[in-house]
Amino acid sequence: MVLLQLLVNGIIAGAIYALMASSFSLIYNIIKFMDLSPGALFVVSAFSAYAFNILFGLNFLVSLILALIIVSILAILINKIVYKPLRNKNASNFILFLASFGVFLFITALILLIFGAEVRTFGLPITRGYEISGAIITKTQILLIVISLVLFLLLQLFMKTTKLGKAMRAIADDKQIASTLGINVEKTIAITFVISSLLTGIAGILVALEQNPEHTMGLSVILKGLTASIIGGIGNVPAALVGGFLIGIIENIGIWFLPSGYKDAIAFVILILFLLFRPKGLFGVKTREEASG
Amino acid sequence: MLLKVKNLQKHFRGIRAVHDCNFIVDQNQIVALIGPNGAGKTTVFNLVTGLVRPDKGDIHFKGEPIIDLSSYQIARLGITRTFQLIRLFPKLTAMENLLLAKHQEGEKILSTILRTRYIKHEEQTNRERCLEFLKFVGLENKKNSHACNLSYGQQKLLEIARALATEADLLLLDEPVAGVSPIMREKIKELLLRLKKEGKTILFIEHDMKFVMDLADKVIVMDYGKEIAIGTPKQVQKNPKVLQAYLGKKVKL
Amino acid sequence: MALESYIIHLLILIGIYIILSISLNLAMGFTGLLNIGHVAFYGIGAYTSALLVLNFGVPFWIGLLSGGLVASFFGLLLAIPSVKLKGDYLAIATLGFAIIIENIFRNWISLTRGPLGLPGIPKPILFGITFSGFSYLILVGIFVLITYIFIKHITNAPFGRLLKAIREDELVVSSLGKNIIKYKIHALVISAVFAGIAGGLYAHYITYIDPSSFTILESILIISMVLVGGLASVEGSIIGAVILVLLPEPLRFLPLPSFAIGALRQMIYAGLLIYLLIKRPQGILGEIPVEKES
Repeated sequence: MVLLQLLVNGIIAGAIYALMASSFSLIYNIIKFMDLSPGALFVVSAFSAYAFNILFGLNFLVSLILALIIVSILAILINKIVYKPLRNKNASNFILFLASFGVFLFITALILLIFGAEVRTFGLPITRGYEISGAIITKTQILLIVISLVLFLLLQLFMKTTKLGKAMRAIADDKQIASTLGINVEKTIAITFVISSLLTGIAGILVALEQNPEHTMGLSVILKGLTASIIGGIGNVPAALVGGFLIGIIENIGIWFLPSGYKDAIAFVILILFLLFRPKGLFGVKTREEASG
Repeated sequence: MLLKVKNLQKHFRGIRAVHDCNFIVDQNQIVALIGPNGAGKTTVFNLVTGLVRPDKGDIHFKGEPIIDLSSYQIARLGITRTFQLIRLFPKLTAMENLLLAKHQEGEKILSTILRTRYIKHEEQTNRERCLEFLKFVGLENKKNSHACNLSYGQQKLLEIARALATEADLLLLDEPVAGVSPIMREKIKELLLRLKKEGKTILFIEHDMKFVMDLADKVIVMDYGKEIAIGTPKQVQKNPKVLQAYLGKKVKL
Repeated sequence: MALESYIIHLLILIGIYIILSISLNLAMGFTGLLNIGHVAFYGIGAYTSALLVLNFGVPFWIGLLSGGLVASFFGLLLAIPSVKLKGDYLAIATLGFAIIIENIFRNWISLTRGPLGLPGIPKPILFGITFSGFSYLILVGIFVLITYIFIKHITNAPFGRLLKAIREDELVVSSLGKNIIKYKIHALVISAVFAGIAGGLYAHYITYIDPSSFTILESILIISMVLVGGLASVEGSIIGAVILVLLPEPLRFLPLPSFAIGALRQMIYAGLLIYLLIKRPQGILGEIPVEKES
């Protein structure tokens, strides 16, 4: 039945939003500002994979790896050229947010310039999906959800067990103390950007397989990742998973009642409601005093 | 009695900042609020000025209850405060900082359009009045300097001047002589005594015990969110509970 | 001939953007209300005026002023998050607001015809003259003058000083006995009214509007104009509007497909914004934007 299909669609979208939300939360956690550039990296990854695979005819796995490398390098560059100077000047969160918007706009325009406006496709054969009680789900979509969950688990493991993960959490807690403990803060921040960009990059490629890569996809996806982060509790990376799936499900079930064009609006109404009434999110522990009065 | 605080309580996520606090401040007195760090003194200020809502208890000012009022309404009744860490408007001049303490017609949007001549006249009158306050603290030469360019001591004086400019009856001063030179300390002490002569009531927080003992008519000692001793400086000095509260804690004696 | 009409076209656009950037500066530069959703007021003004004139034959003036009025209600609406939220949280909320409004433009098809837009918006007719070209420029010029004089006047008054104080430390302003909520509302509503009027001016000039003219990108552009000129500088906003409208114009003459010109335009704007934030956040005439307390 339709409702079940919408739920399935919601879970699929939720998987992507969860990845974007994790990516967003990772960065927020460590440098305490809202970074929209993952939205651009999402698009870069999709188009790079497309370019290597379809235009240059390389093997898919190779294309994927090359795309992720490009995205990682970009993330490091963005941090170095734009964010670090601003952080050194003690710029406010708003300034950094605006700058990230600038970065997003610049990169997406660049993609448009390079690839033009025509529709691109990976040209995967349309596979017949599986049917569960009237809802259809394709192999690619299942893959998407599975990969998203696996990546998420890997990320949690990484954060809890590895030295680097602990360093990241230490910096998130208190940057100054972390550096007195001998942690190389700037290097850890750079690596965080790389990990975040990998999550975004994979999300971008997964979506591009499912739908056609378009240069406009990035904004909607990062903003929903942002919304999911806030709903889960900003800076709380595990909660980003919950937030992501919640947004995905709610916006897809929402269009049962409203015209489908209102999908974005639904997500942002939820965002505004949370900002006004529960800025901590569902699981947030660290509140930012600046957020409310 | 000007200010009455009864059974006041404020907890922050399990920390008892203020707990069953009671005291009175009578008109035209200089009252000191002292206690070790973390005793809840600034929280009391925040509660009285409406920045923070109490969990329990009552606060009465001029006989009326004020805990349900918002902070700007409380300020309008005649209470003003300074802050532990100086909070001036750094990019505005000293004069402009003071002018903001006044309530002018020119702040109302319709008046700026419809009563241009009046608001110009009013601004002029207020400038003259504020110049008097600047003279009172000795900063009249700095009236056009930006607040961020004043020395620390001058900023302290400016904050006091601004508190005066509100023409409030009760001044809550949070550590008015923290970090100032001995000369400045004397100057501020004289200022406060002059204010008392002019009918003002002052409640101040301080760690500088000599300053407290020289100046205060009454001393309220707080510890762990509650008043533990109230009396004249001499009485409080001899109170064993007070000595116990300060033992082992870092304080300037 | 073509050169003359091109120049008039540019000047009209500059005029409209001057009104937009001065109005945003009042809310953002003077009062510190970070509003990324300013474009929503612009769009609401445009659609309101266009719809009233197209569907009800209302005269241009009434349409224009109604656009401002309706936008002011939304300004009031935006005051709610502005009171509760700060910094980037407020920015996100305003961003969400703008996206919701744009969604409504695109999906409330029965009202706005969605992506098809509203064509055939009539040009203003007064005293038998149809305003177009040079006469429209005069019309826009008059509104620019009104905007400049009005905003300059209120910001020079104690009202302006109060707004700046709210921007610097609203807690203290509150403890001085001022109801800051009231003043924030004033700033936002005035900001919205002028943006709404700019929207009406735009609609009746281009005679066709669709949701794509009122995206977040427009908001970022207007913010850039305010930043280039300098926060809390009314003259700065004028300079900012002039520079940013003219900057990518040379691209028009390059032999490139339109998507490429659009992309390059966006790259110029984005690049300028980033450069500005890093190298010269105070813009040309202004004060340094909000700094984090150390």
